[in-house]
Amino acid sequence: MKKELAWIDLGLISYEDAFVIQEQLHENCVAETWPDTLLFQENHPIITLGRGTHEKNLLLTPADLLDLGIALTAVSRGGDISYHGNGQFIVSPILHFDHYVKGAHQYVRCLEQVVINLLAHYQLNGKRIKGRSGVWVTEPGTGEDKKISALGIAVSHGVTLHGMSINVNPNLEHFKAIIPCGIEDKGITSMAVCGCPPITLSDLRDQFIVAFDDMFGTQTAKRTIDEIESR
Amino acid sequence: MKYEIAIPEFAEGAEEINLRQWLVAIGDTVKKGDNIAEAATDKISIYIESPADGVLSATLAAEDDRVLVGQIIGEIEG
Repeated sequence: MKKELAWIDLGLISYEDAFVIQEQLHENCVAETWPDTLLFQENHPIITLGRGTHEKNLLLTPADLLDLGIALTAVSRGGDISYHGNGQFIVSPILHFDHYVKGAHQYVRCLEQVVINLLAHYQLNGKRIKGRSGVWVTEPGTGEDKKISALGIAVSHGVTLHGMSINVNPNLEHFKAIIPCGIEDKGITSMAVCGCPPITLSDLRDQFIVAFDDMFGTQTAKRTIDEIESR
Repeated sequence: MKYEIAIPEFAEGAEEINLRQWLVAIGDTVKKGDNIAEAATDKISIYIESPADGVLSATLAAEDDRVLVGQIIGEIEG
């Protein structure tokens, strides 16, 4: 029998509001009062500074960022600097990862494979690059390997937080404000730049769920945020 | 009574990880299961839980140290 998961789509939401919901979900999953969940969201433009951020990786001043409509915030996750914004698909699996895979490394590899399989659905050839996290593609226009999907997870009380982003059609100019994850010699690209026909984040969400269920042997059903908040 | 804080097995075959930060200071009171430290690779952050109710009495590894799975990184006086 397949394990049942929930999915919730927060839509376009501020990073801060979504983070509060993610922590609430995590707490409920740890207490096992709520099922393991795939949490989807799209954020307004924001640069997040993880605990491991190196100052040199932020290339613009807060005033410059304000002019571009990009917020700036320090966050409690590990890792370096990240950008999130419109046109970027974000999924945070909040789940007891060891119910599905053996160990955190296998969990990460499976998540990356879900994205590679998902990109293949859209005729894009995603791949891993040794020593680099996330999923990469060779950009058709430049022939360069560029990151299309970033990954970073945390495990607390056996339940995961954070997850992956996939660049569908974000404003890539915004990424020039940072050196993403501190990687200086590689660029960022998107599905649109790589020739994928226009898709909505909802389309991608539905295909992600199919690819995720196929990889993890799960059956994922829609739930709403109101159901959590009413508990 | 002293309780040892050890780096848990977090992934098959993984032998070491970076101790990114202590989340509590020596002398702080903690409860069993509280997150007291964070260890991380480039993709994964693992929160280390307190093994008991008590006070963090010693840290045996510093932030940014490479630590081994099973290594004792601190002690709780319960």
